[in-house]
Amino acid sequence: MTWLEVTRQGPAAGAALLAASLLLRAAALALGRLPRSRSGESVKRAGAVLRRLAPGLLAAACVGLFGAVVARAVVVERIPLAGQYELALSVAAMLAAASLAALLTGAARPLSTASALLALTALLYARQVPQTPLPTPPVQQNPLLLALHGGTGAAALCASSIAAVAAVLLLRRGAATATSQRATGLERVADRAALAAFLLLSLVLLLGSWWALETWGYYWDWDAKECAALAAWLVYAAYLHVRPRQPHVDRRAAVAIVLAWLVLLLTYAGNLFFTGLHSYA
Amino acid sequence: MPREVLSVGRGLAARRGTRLRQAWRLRYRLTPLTSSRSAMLQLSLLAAVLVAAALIPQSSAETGLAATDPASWSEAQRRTFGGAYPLMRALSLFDIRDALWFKLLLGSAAGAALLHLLSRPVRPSTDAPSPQAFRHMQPRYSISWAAEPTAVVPALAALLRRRGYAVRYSRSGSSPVVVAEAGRLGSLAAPAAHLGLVIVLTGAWIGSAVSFRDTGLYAPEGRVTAVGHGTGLLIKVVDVSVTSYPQADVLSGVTTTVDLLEGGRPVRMAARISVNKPLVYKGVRLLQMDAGPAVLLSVSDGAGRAPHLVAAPLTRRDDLDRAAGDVELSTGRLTAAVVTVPRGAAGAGDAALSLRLPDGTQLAGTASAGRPAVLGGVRVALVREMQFSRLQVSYQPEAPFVWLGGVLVVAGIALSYLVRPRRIGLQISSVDGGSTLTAVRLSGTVHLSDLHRLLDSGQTPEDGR
Repeated sequence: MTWLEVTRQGPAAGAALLAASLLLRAAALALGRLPRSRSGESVKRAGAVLRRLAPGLLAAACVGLFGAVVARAVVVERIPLAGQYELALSVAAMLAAASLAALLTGAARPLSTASALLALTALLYARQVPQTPLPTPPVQQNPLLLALHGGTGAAALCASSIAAVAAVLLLRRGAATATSQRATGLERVADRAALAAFLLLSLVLLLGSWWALETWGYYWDWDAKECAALAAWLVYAAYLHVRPRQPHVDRRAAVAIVLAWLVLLLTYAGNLFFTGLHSYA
Repeated sequence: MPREVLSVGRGLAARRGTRLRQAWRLRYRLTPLTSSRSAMLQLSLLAAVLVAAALIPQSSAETGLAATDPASWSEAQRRTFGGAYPLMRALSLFDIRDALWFKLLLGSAAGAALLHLLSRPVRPSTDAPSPQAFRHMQPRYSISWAAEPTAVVPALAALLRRRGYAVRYSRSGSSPVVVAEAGRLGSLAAPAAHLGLVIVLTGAWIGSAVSFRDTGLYAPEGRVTAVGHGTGLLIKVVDVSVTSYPQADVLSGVTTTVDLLEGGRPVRMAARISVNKPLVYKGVRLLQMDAGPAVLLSVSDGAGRAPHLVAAPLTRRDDLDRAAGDVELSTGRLTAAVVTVPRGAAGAGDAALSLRLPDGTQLAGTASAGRPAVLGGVRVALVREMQFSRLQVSYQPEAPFVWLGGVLVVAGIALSYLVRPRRIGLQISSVDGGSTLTAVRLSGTVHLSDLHRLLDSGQTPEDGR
């Protein structure tokens, strides 16, 4: 199998494995909910087997996706973090890894399911955008800053997605936990992931301004993507001021996390309708 | 927070006279502006403005028509936004950067951050909690031991120190008190982030006054060109190299080799400028934009006197897709439009000239290598074709300060993420030959159940003794 084939087959295999893992978990859940009279020992055993298989499939999906990222790097001869397709692929791989980590630690299983679903969505999006690697324009010929700026950007989107998923789950539960002594697992995940996203987004902006000065001659150019990224950063800053008593995440804080994620999505996918200096990103 | 500010402020004011007291009062009155709610409001407003700036084309983003042809750019926006255009224009939504309301919003955010920074107590109160605090502060936790307080206190302190707490002894009424603090570095997180924000905004504000940027420095090969903008710098382009990807007709790189001169003396020889690798000298950045064809013209009067060379960069394409450009001739302030005929076409190597006289009259002619054109008393001969390099001159002395501010913001956030300040007070009371420990959380997220676990984790005060 050539590297080019891995770049083509890896994402498809990863998506199939992710979907299979989700189906297995759903089946195991359904078996577990069968009435006691109808669920004999054999059904219980089947449910247990399915539950054990799910992490294996998820791990295989991670291998497929990270393999596709590496293969893409070999084919395009640079860090594969330029353009919508490559970023979507990297984010999908990171989300799949986060889903696996959540599943293995067992701390927040709904989060694992939601992360896997988000990874699948990212892969479906990747299928819709042009995949053919284009020659690297002179502006992107800076391997260090491409890796740092693009890498932190992908990681910020991944952390932001995890925080948003946890926040949505908290909102569904009512998020009325701020009065209790201890934060729930989901609250901790939402808070830490949001902080990580904020930190990473700060680095994205800093590194981006450094790169912009080296390439475009100005560290801040009022480019559409720059503005949207700073808007997402500001919403996260608002979140820091709105959360009642960390790491508790109340309703307002959860809404702020989801808003920040939406603005970050706009930053990422805005290339579909933005014009400006980041048109190739 | 307001309680601490008030107590610190009053204490200092009492010692330092009326003027200072008034200053402290003013500061206290302004404190509500630094509340989390007003910060949230300001940040949300700024975020909404920036989303608008992302969705509405900004004339200050120096790309496309906005920079080269502002009238056409405005017309394009009028067509896109239709009836909403006049209102959007009135609200400066196409140029948010320079809008007064945006500057006020930014200024208020910077002011609030600065105020928050100044209104924080210089150091946290070191007073032990009062006996009332132990009675009223919630949540609190009590645990009893058989040992006397004199034995419990050092054992408890040793236990807390092992857990990374800094321990101070005090008294509250007649009972000994242990105040334990951990993660004190974490209290610097918010000030660092706010200071960083103030530095970023101040740097950007100063930068808007002193920085400049010029994307149109056309430097023909072999010629000396002034960098301008009062820099006193000259560049001589030694070589222009343009490379493309072999399979696709796509640019892979542009490199210009220049000699940089200051006051007529060379300061950098054969320096290479390419995209991503600017030449930086005394804060002035020369960045590679693009390159293209140019023609070198010899211009003299009609009789061939006072000849001098003029390089004309051909920066645009004419209606027939030929390279074309405009140049101002020093002889009689004439503007010449030059069009070259591409190789392979009839008259290849010729340059079609169109001279515009000061009265608006246009004269046309053709010049080639050995055949000059004489138009309106000006003799123009084509010397040779060459390359020009388009460079950008940029001066942003504030950038390091903005980055320093940005690093402080990141450090502040990281600190708040990694180090959480915790402060607890432990009052040890003597009860029937034994001790009762009452613990209260003074700040941070210390869960008193954690303290219980700490004390029950095999290290009781008796063991510690």
